[in-house]
Amino acid sequence: MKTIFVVEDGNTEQAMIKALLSQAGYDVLLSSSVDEAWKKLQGMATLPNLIVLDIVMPGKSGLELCRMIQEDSKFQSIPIIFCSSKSEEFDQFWALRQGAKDYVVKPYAPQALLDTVEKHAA
Amino acid sequence: MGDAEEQSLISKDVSAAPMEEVLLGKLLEASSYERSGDIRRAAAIYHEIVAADAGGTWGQSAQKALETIEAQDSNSGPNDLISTDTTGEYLPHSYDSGSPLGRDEVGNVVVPEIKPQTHISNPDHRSGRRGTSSRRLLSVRWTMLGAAAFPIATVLIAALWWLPQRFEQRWTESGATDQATLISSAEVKSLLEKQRQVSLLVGFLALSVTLLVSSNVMSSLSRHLHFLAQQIDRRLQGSTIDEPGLNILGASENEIGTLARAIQNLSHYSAQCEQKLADAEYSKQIDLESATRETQRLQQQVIELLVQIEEVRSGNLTARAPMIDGKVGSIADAFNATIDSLRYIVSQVVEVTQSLTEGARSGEASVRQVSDSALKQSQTLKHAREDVAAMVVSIEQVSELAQSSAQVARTAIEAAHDGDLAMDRTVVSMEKIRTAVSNTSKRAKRLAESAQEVSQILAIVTGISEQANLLAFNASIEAARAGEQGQGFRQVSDEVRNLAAQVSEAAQDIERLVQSIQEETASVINVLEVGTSEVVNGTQLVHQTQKTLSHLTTLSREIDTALQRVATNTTTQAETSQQVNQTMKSVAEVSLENAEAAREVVEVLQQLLREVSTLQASVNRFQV
Repeated sequence: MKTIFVVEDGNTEQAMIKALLSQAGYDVLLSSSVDEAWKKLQGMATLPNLIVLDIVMPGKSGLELCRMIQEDSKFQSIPIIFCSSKSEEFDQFWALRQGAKDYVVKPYAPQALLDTVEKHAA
Repeated sequence: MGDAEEQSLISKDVSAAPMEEVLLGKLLEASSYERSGDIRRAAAIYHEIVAADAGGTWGQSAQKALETIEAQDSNSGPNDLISTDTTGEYLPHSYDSGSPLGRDEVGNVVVPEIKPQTHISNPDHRSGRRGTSSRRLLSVRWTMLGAAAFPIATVLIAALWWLPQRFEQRWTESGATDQATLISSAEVKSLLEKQRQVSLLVGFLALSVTLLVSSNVMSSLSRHLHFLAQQIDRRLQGSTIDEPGLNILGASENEIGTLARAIQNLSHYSAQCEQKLADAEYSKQIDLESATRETQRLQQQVIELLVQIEEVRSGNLTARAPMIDGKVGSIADAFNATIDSLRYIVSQVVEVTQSLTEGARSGEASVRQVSDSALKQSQTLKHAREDVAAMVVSIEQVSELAQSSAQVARTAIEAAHDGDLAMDRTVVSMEKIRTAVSNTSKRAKRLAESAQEVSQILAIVTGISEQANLLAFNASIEAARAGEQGQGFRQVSDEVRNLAAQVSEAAQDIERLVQSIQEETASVINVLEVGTSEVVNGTQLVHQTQKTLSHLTTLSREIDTALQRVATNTTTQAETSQQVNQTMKSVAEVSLENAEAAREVVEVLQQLLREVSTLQASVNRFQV
């Protein structure tokens, strides 16, 4: 079973993405902030197959976490996709420049999210 | 179907259970339908979610899903999905809140603005009413048509009437060239002239008739047109139009009727347009306001960002642009990332300059110490060299002493060797003496034994003489008895008796001699035995002396060897000491050079410290 690590601060968003991914047969791990996610990631025995990051969160942003992951040789190989309400083209450009594989704009069609996750989950 | 029932069921569910859970359940259900390919049911559920949570997370997601589905649907061909499954009430929800991007893709369903045009252009509801005055106008069209057609028809007939003749002539002309002279060019000209005149006449007549008819029609037409123009003017000026009048005009099927209906429709349409324009104006106002707000927000965000950049410029690298959900979010993030890198670099520079300063300071002290030590070392080495030189002299003296001692030891060895040889000779002589004494002793003993034998023989001789005496005595007796005849015999026996007596006496003398020989021999043997033991003792003493001498020789040899070794060693030592002296000399030189180099290093380090402090001053501008 593939594991998806979701970093998302909104309760509703968390519930929705967890439900959708779980229903699609993924094991879902959740974190509400970048610091918590980073700590959790360090303690993981097996790395997740994919990380889904929100961008705007209290404290550090998802972009920062993406950079932290990219700079760490242990986690570099984990594919990252952003899932954010920032819909501008330049936002997506910048996010992808940070090393992410894909970008899902919120609100998203459930199937679109699942397709993107399936495409990139290693 | 029980769509309505289902709807009511949903609303009941929504009110009964927590809204979010229901929506989540619905979304999951729709998503699973969508994945399994049952798009129709998925869309229905998505619509329900949109209806229940139009502006919320669930509703927006469902909306997005619907847009995707519909886009696919329009691509894959006509489908009555939307029209059957959704009632009109969903549409406003669906497309009021949708993003403009999504709306473009589904234009045919989405844009309702196009519909009013067809609605307006359909005047069915008015078609039943017809006015009597407009009935007259029906003839106008026919009159106008007749007026236009009459002159044209007349001219055409005239032309057609003339044309066959002309073609017949031309045909005859080309068919038989020899008859070329039959129709001259003058005839042709006159024919054409006649044709023109007839045409002009006919045209003039037709025009006159047309003008007569149309002047009548025109007056009625201009009245109606004037009325219609008035209505348009009124509409343009914003006042209400004469609807009943227009209705009467519009009831007729002719052009005026059509024009009237068109004006009416135009009026209605323009009213709608005005309404729309007003709406658009309003929404534009709203948009403008929101755009203004957005601009203000953007301004605010940019100002915040600029403030942070200014902070960084003044050296505060702890400044961070807030990662807001706005337009400048990505720029803020890029700014933060850049500042993070810069901060990392500056903090490293600070660290390095600090450790460099510390290192240079402690290095300077160390190098100074090294310089001092090198100088001291050079001094110490100088003293040491003097000591070593003195030591070399001492070693040389020791070497000489050892060599002379070795000479003495060698002389002692030679003396001991000579003594040993003399002793050997003494031992040989004494052995000879001992052998001689031993031989003498043996002979003396044999002499004693011979004397013993002589003594024993003498005893036998004595016994024989005693028996001879006895026998002579017995013979004398026997001679006496034989009287004178025995006289001579008696005399012989007497003589024998005398001889026996003499032998006995001689034997006694020999006995005495033998006894004295035996005594003498015994004393000689005693003397000889004493002599032998003396010789043995002497030999032993000589042997002991020899051993002592040999030991002495060995010792002397050892002493010689040791002394020779001492001599050799001391020579080597002297040489080594010389080398040590040389080495120490070069070490002292190197020490001096070291001291000089260390002094130079100190200068370099001081220069480095000055440069590092300049660098520190630059870096300290930054707060990390």
